[in-house]
Amino acid sequence: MPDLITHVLIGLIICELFNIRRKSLVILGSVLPDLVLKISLLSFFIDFPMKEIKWLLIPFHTPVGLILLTIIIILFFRGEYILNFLLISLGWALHLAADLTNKEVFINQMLLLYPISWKSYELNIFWSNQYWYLMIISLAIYLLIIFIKRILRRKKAKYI
Amino acid sequence: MSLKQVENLKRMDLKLKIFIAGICILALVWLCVNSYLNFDKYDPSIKQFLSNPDKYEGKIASHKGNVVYEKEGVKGVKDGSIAEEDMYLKSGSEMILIKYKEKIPNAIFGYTLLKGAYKKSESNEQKNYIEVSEYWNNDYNYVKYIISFIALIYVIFVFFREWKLTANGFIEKIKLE
Repeated sequence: MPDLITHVLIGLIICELFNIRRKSLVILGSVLPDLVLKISLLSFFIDFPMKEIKWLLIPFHTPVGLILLTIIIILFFRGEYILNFLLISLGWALHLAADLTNKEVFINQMLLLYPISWKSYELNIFWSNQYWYLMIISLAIYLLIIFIKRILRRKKAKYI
Repeated sequence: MSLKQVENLKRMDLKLKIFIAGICILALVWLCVNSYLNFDKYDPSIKQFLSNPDKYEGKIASHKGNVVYEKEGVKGVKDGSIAEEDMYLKSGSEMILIKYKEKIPNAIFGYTLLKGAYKKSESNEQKNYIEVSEYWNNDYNYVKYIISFIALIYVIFVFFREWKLTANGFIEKIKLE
């Protein structure tokens, strides 16, 4: 699965393309699915049953779990609950979409229809350590958008 | 209540917030427990196999961990029941003997992913193993976690640049100015 920088960059690309002002909510959403689930990675350093912990935490990487988590998060904001909910949800939806490029790591990693189905959806494109392909592509796209926007702004300013 | 009315709610009643949060937390707990209890829907873990080899023999599972060749800390080594050249997979707190047609090299600054069938040894319980069918070394994958940490700091920085925490919750700084 891509690293968090790639997930953040994808969120930023969408913010720039659609002129979303509250970027922080989109990028918060884009890191949300990994925040809880990645606790299981501590098993590389601390002895605990990795798979069992993963089974317990996997709902935090599913749409249903993330909807619930997003509802809890937006309650910490004052007003504009629906807009904030949509922006955070956009972030994690982009995260899950990027994770679809995973090559099978664990069977049942991308349970998009949980708890209705345990079927894992993966496109089997990149291994976990090939994250930098997506990172370079998304960084290039982001810089290109910033560059084009800057040129357009300068042209606009000239005419004014 | 229309969407506009909901949006216009500047301050949701605290009791209502606690009620909604409570329901969501309960639902999340249920999702987690349901996922954990339906472990049979996932690959059987090494722990499950070692505790009940008869039940899980022949089942194919994917694993994540580090391949080790050291004898130290492996049960049965002292009595000589485990050979020096044996390979083991250390996955979390579990360790299991693995067999493959060739030697699996250690992943460099990363971990190994492998897929294989659980096999029971008739002669020695401590020699129950995984017959590996395929593996992939995620070399340098830990770099990903280091740079992900940088991203996390960036997210926190951007968030607190846009939002201010008040007694009534997070408020956009633009609105305060």
